[in-house]
Amino acid sequence: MNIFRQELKMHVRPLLFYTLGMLAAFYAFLLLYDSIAADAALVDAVLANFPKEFKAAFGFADVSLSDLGGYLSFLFAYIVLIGAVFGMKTGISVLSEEGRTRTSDFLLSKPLRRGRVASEKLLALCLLLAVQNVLFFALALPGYLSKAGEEPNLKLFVLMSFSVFMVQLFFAGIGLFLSVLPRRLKAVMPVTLAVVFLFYIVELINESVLDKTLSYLTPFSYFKASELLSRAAYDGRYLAADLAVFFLFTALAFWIYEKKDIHA
Amino acid sequence: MNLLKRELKANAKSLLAWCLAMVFLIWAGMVKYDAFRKTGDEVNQMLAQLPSALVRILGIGNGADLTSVAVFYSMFFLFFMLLGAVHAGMLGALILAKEERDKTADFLFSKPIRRNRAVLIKLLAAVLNILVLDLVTCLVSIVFVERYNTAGQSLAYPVFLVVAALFFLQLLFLGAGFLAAAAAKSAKTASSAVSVLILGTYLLSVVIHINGDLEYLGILSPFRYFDVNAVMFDRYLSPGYSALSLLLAATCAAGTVKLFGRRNLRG
Repeated sequence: MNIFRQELKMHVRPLLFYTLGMLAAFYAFLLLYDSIAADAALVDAVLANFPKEFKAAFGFADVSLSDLGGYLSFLFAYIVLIGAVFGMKTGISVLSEEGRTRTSDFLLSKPLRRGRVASEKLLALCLLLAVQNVLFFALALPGYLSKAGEEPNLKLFVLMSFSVFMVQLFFAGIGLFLSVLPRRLKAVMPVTLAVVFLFYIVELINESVLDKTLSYLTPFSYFKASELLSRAAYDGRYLAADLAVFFLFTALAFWIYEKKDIHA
Repeated sequence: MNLLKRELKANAKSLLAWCLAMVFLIWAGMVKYDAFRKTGDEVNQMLAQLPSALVRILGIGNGADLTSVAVFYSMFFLFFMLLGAVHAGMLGALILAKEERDKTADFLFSKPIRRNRAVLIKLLAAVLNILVLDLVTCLVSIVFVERYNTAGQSLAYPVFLVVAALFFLQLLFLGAGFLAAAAAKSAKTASSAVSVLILGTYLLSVVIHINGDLEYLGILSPFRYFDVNAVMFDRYLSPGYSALSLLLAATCAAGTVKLFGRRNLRG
């Protein structure tokens, strides 16, 4: 379990920074809520006249802006974006860090199978993501409760908060896979940001043309908060797609890592 | 000159990947547009009635006719900015910091050229990379936009202006990347700093978008510098913010030369 512990130690600082970033965004959105709430009643009145299909296409079928959950459901995507960057970055880092610091020979000459090494790293990765989500949830909850009024929609908040974890799994899997492809991955952040933003942009395009057919392409449309609001659960098909991507790419990454020719 | 050639060659593969990503993005977006414009009229009518508070939260253009190719294309500016900022920022941070990371700093900086000159050549190589990416973006955009353009008037010039705005912003992020590399201890720290800058200024631009009262903070977020509607439809590229971008980029470059000039290089 030494590798597991070492990985945790190495990523604990980025974990705290990214969680702080997510919380900062969350509380900034909460503060802005007051400026929107004034218009909210008006907005709701106008929306009442819109056909249901149209509202469903835009993802606000049952959304009321005068309700905090409804307001946050539009903005949670940005918090998911920060989480996705952390998930991808950590996913890319864990299996490729030794290549960059030229410590592969040190690690891999230990009396452990490569599969074991990779497993401990994967376990650390999952724990890091889980801890981040729990931290975010615990520290954001007081803010949510303080503004949510008399009957806070707790279930929605739980679903929204942990949707970050689900999206992170997608990117962690892709990250693990991409990181073992080149002989030595030189830099983590360029690949991370480019891939995450590409998926994010695909989601923005989907949203603006009201098209759902391509929504399976990007994890940002798997657990959209506005959907969670009307459904009050994760959509099984998207959940399956999300986990399938995670398991498939993680398995591929393990397979390549076990056979890979490592240059010390 | 050897250094310039070497840098261009070293970045050629990644530049090609970036160009392909850009072409894919424009192609995919335009294919979606083609499907959308045939059914979009009803959507348009409803969009026009949306209250502005909701429009601000959804992040869609206000009262915009999305079936017009010019309006649709103007959405791309945000995508270009996001990808362009990552490309330029990371390029700037790593082109300088990679020598120490790859332990080739002693090799390069013991050559009989001044350190400042090496930095400036790397800067030139990075600017050329950005120019190529923007040129590809511009040409591919014009081809696709003109294909769907039914307005009669050519949109080539407004598209060129949009990409020009992108170029100024990329220079700004490139400068920030260089400065981060000169100031930070390692390539890793430099690229992390640039990531924070990109994500932070992007989220700031979102916050300003939601609450118009915070407009004065716009100067802190390059994502707010150019109003794509003004660029696209009034053909107005704000000279003030263009100058500010260039000025900030130049300041960063000067800071880099100064800091890197007295840096204790780890071999």
